[in-house]
Amino acid sequence: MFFDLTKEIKLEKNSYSRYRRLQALFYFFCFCASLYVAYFIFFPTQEFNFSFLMLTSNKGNALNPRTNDGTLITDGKFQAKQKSYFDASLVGSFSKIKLSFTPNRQSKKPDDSHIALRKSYRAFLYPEGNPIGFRDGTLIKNKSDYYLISDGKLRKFNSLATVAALNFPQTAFLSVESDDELKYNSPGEEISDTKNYPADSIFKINEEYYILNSQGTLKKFISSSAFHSIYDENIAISKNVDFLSNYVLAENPVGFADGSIVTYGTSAYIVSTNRIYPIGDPEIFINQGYNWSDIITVGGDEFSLYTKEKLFTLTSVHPDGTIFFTPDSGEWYRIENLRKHELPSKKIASSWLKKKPITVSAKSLEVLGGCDLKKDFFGNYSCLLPLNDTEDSAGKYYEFTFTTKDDLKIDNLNLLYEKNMTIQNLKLALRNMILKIKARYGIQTTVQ
Amino acid sequence: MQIPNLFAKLNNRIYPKLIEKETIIIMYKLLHDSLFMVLVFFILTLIAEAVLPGIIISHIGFSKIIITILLNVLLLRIFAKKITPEKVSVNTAPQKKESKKIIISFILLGVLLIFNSQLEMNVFLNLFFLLACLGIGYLSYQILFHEE
Repeated sequence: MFFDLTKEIKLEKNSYSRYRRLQALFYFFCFCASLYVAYFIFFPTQEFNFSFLMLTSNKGNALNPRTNDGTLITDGKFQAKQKSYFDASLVGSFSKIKLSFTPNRQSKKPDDSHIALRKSYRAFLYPEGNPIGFRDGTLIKNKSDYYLISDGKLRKFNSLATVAALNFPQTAFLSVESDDELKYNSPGEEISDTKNYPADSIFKINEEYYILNSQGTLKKFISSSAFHSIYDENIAISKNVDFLSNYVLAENPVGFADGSIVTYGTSAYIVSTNRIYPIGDPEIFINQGYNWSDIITVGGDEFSLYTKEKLFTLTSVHPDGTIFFTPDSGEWYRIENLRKHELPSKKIASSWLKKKPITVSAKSLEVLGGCDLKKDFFGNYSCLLPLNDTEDSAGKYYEFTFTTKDDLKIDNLNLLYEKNMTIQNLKLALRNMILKIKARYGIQTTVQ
Repeated sequence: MQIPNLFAKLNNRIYPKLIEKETIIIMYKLLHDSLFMVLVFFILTLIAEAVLPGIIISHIGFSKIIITILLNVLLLRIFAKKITPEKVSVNTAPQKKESKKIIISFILLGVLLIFNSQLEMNVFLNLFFLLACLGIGYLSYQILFHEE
């Protein structure tokens, strides 16, 4: 009576052997089912769907189909020879994406319509804006000339004596050899007044830091860590308390550098202008390219300076002030007003950055792959986009560009991310699981 | 008409004609096997979710597993009513030791799951909650199942 859970229930001999056969069949079925469950744990698929017929059924802003100017497409109409976009954000490495379009019965068919894919950070795919020069307040030495970046302008000190008279610390001047690096800040009025400080001069009074703004008022930094998130210690001119009586103090203090990561309580936040964005979870933190070592712990008074925005998730775009670095091309970019501005040199970048930048491949701006839609067995129009499943590059944002030859009306749009069943993918999945378990139990702080 | 009554009426009408008594017993025994497997899956899911949250429930929701268990128990109850007493042999062998082992292992599993679920909490506070949970569990058992 091996493995009979109901030994008390008697059966005739024939019936009992029938039960045993059925029991064996049932356990075989369970074994197959467990293999199937293991399959979708180790080789998961991820599906995104957008129905143009039932807009309310679409979760959040899934796929976000939009025209070239960013207008959301809600009627399913795609214009001929016009680029349209849709996107998805997800973590993990996948082998292929199956894209499937269900055209409306009255519509022309999307045969040979082309889809191209780019994968990066969403903000890094912003159009490029004008390059940015040094940050306000930066002190620069070029050959024998001394400069201050004041109100965005490059202002030259008329002599070294003026620098000395105003007590600007010699060690704080950033040595710039090339004139090219100076051209990104427009030239401003020469500094010759030894009595009055120019705008963006920085002072240290009683262990507190102040910056002089263009209106002639002194703005206090909310804390020492806020100051150090923007400037180096040696840039500040030491002054006595009496100095404060010469200026009007501004009402609002200066907070942390845009793009800083601060933590208050158990949550981490991204700072941008006067807003903070709470980060959903550690996985999002890592997958959006941030570093644990950059976290600054803040107090209630520092935290209250900001307005809390909605949760920063994997689909969120990096806020203004974020700095990207491309190790493969050695370029730096700063995000500002929906544009990606180049920081033309490492020195310019260092004037903006006191923490690690978000690294991203310059190649991620290029098209990763493409495919043409063909009619499939079920009457939909689909194509397969192969991906490199061994390389899970930085940036989890997939941007699809859709170009069609004719005007189309689409009823449904579907994306299916799949993973090939290979030993390599199995090893990768196991490795990621172990990493996640280690991260969960605090053995290791990185998760993929 | 209440649903269980409807089931009972349908059973009375259908089973004697279509399904032999032996077949009912086979189905009853198979339902035990399926309940066993679903419970094993449920426990494994609990452990997997405790270690790596989302690993199973992102594919199969807990509600589906629980509905399957409840459905299985309901079917077992219906089939049990169809089994005549002479088909059941009363087991007189002492089983206390075996069931004690099972109970202890389930309590241990429960303790680990509760402790794990509050990992981010201070260890001593976590232990305090654990003791409180055990205390409440023991008192509830005493109230519900205590034999006078």
